[in-house]
Amino acid sequence: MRKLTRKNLDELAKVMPILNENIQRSFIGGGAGTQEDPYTESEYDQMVASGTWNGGYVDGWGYTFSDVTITGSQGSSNNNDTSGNVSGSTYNPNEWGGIDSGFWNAGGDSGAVGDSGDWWVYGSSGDISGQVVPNTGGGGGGNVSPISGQQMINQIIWESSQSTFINQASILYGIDLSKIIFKASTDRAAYAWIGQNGEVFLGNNFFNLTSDKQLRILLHEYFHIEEDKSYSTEEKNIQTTLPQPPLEIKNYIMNVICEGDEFSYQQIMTHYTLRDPRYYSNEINAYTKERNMFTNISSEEKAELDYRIWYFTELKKLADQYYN
Amino acid sequence: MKIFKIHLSTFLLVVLYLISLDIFSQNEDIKVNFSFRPPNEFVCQIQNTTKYQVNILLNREAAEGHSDLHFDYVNYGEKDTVKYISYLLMNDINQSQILRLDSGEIYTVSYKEYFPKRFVRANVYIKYGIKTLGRLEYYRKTFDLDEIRKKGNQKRCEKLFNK
Repeated sequence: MRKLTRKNLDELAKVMPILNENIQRSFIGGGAGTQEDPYTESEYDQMVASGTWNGGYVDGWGYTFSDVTITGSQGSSNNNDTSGNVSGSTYNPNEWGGIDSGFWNAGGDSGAVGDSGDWWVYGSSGDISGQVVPNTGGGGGGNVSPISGQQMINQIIWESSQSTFINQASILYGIDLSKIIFKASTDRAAYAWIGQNGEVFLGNNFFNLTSDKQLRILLHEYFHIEEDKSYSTEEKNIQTTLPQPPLEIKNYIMNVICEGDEFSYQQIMTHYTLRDPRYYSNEINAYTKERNMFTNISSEEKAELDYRIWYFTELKKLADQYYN
Repeated sequence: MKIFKIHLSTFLLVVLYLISLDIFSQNEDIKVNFSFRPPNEFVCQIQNTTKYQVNILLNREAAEGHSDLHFDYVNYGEKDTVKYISYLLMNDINQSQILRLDSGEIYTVSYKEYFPKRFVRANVYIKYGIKTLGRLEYYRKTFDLDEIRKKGNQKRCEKLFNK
């Protein structure tokens, strides 16, 4: 057996690629986002792309905020306590405004947002609110979420159709969707879900739906954002059975969910946990609004909504007995 | 005759013991395994360990209260907070909500997370039934993802060094 010496390693280095510390770190799982164990830039990029960036320490940048607003000024920028032009220099976060993070210069010559790809990021009021990575647009205002792969395709599809949905919601239902931030994501199987910062993530399957169904989902999430009452996240271990549903609801459960199987029906009716009644109230409210607003939906879709309203109403009634 | 009676009663006791084991060994019906595939994928495997088909009722949305996977997710900030987030156990939202697993069959669902270190625990809740025995049950288990990540990374390192 040949002994491994430094000379061998040196020889090896001539023919094998050498990974720097950052790459090695990302290879074994990266940082934790804490000051002691910050994320790498690559991890940051990926997390922003997936819409899961909620702030944290990034190697070489310091603490990096979650939300980003880009305003389109060229050649000048504000920081959080003074205003003025920044040009001809590369931003050093430790030298500016006493803030050790929140800004990132792509390495260019000034705080400009333009074709060169060099830009500064700042909030519309002049407060620093986050960071973005290069080549993600800019200049037009709004939040930035760089994306890749299937997410990128979905994000492009969304951005091209977003205004149509906003107009439809406004004209047909008098609802303003423009204040909600929507982002494509492939993280979960669900059609849509609300993120930690109140943004709505649109899952991959959302993009396979008809535009009518998409609009229903967008409004459903809107009702949750705008009208949900706060609730306790506690879940109680309580065994209960739902009461016998009306015939049409039972038919829906048996035929659509249980595929005709009586045993699966019993499974649906049996519960081992109950949540805060307000949690179910929020669902009832969102589905009831959806049911009342969308009158031109198919009989199958109506049956589904009726089932969900009945189901959450019964769960709420049961929960009321144990939570009050 | 006496010996015969002793043998018979011993035999009956053994049969009763085996039947009760089969009926009451609830935690043995399902086996859930969590693993980490570096650099960023959590893999959840659910195995039916009974001799019968098992029906698992899946959540299509978190509020339904059927089988689900919740991650405890840490938000680092001034105050670190842990959030309980539903990820569902479905691979595809359009799949049937009734997952039927034959004896020994394994169902796999995986989650790619860009910041796996923020995912500290996985809480698996499975609502299942064994139709043949007319039994409805549930299974609950929490996994420490720090441990699972370490093991996953170690395995990968071992593989690389053994090459």
